[in-house]
Amino acid sequence: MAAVAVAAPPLLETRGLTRVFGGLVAVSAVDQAVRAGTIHAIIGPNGAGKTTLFNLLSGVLPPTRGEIRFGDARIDGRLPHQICRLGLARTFQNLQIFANMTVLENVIVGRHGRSSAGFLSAMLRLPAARAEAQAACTVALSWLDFVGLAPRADDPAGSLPYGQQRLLELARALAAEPTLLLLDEPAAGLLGREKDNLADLLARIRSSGVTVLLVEHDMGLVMSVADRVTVLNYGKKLFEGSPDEVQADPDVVVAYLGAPEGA
Amino acid sequence: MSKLAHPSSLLPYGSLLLLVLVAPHLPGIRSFRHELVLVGILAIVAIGLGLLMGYAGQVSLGHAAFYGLGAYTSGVVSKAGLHPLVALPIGLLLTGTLAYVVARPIFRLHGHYLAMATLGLGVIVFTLIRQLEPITGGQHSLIDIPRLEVAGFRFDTDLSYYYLVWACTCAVVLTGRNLIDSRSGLALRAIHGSEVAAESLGVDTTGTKVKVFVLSAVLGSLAGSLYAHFSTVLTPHTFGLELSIQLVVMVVLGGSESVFGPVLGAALVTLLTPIMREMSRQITGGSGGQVEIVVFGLILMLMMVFLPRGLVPGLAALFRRRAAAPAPIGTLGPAPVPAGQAVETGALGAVRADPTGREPG
Ligand SMILES: Nc1ncnc2c1ncn2[C@@H]1O[C@H](COP(=O)(O)OP(=O)(O)OP(=O)(O)O)[C@@H](O)[C@H]1O
Ligand SMILES: [Mg+2]
Repeated sequence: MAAVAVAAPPLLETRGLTRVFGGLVAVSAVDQAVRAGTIHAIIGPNGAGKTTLFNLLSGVLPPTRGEIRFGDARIDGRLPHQICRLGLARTFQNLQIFANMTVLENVIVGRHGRSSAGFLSAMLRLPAARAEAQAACTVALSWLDFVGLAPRADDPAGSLPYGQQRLLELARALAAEPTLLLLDEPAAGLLGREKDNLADLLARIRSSGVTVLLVEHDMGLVMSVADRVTVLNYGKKLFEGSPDEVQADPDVVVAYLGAPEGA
Repeated sequence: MSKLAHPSSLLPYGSLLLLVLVAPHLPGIRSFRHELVLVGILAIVAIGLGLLMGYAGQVSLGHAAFYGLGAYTSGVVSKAGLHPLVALPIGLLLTGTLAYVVARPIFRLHGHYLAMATLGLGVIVFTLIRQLEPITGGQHSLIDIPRLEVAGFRFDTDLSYYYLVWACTCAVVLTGRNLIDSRSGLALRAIHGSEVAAESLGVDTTGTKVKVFVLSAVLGSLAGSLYAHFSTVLTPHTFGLELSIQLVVMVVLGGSESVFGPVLGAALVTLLTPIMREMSRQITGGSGGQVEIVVFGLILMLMMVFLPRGLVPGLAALFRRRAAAPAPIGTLGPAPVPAGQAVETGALGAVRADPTGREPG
């Protein structure tokens, strides 16, 4: 069983992935593979390049150098909406909910890449477009239900408390039915019970077959849900291993001692 | 059920339809049929511009060019002997193609380059109309454009043309509303909310904006064609910067969130312009145009400060507050319904139910 999993090609693979901002190398020659069906955590001190890595993977920023392979496709240089349609969805560290919409509408936007009605069929209210809109609504509601936000479906998204806005971003990304889900600090700002709920959701997402790449500062959460952990420091990959191995590695401890919150 | 079946969402459409049907027969208004035709024509351009401004977040300062292109194509082609209904789609195609060619490279850039580019486009088209005298008549005007005749019926009275134009305007209102309520409309609102999130969720932000721009240009062309067979005379100065600015004022005045906003804006601006011209003639004793521009500038500034969302959403919110006052909070909005029922309202039910005060459609 384990042998089969190791032999399978990784779902995501980067080679020499690099992003330079002016004189700053935010992501530096990162080689990283993510195996399908796992929760893979990326940790590292503030400014280590975790969010920049996500921006490269999701196409928000083009890489300066290097390759990104997702499934069978080279995705470096592609646009975010193209990458999304290949099955990669993400959330944002600095929340990017659509505050000008309801909670449900936010999640319906997540269905965009999975539907196809164009301007003309929408303007004429063709039956196919209407059926598609209803189906998108149904699926969106089920994802809202999954994260526990169904009762707030018709509320303005901006009226949700912070922790629920994070869950909304999660539901919205899940609605895109990704095979790979990138979560940028989903636990930031969550309270104790909300964090437990999140850990539970992450486990359920993994068991549904979705691979998760998780950037997170909360070590308790990382150690409890992650199958594998990569440590970034100054844009470079410092270490990769199981949660236990990471905690035991002296280099990692040093890197984190430099950071205010410690490991 | 479908959204149209909801009584509260039907109200504004029913009112508009009724108003359109009876307006030309009302005692005080009968003598303004000619102006009402112009309102309907310009409302079509303004709705298109409103979609661009409110939903793609971009301003065009050259929409008069698309209007002019439609008008002159219809004029020239139908004078050459083709039927007006053949000339019209030629105009749409020409205008749509031009809009696409202009917009595609511009929307790739971020920021408000479109305003600059359309300003330039407006000047170019205006100059071409004036200079290509052998084709357009230039300063001497393009005259004797045939009237519209369909299946033996000649639209040669203000009243018949009024109904023709307003049938088109109502169709544009409906299809525009449908677009706003659709997947594409939601995508456009998402772009407004967070471009990076929309793009990451599969929305082709550049492509969607280009489509809105092309659509709004095509609507301008349609209105221009309608104008050509109504006026039967085309003069270059009708299609200059002044009209482009007036169109922006219409959208800002009425508001761009709802398709009704630009219609109201078109009515106000079209009907107020002759009044202002007369007033300024009396005040300054001559050069009227200047004062008009000042008043439009003033309207723009005041709207931005006091009613940035425009008159229609402002009035709708006021109306809603009135209606809501006696009822306890929560009874007006949609109650949290079981999933099955909410599905029945459709994805779009949520748009209507948005309690933030957004006007449906
Ligand atoms: N668009 C940008 N332009 C210039 N510099 C940037 C940009 N984005 C990130 N940086 C810089 O790149 C470095 C890495 O930033 P990044 O946001 O990826 O770190 P991070 O690991 O996500 O940190 P945190 O834990 O605080 O979220 C930082 O020094 C940051 O200032
Ligand atoms: Mg970050």
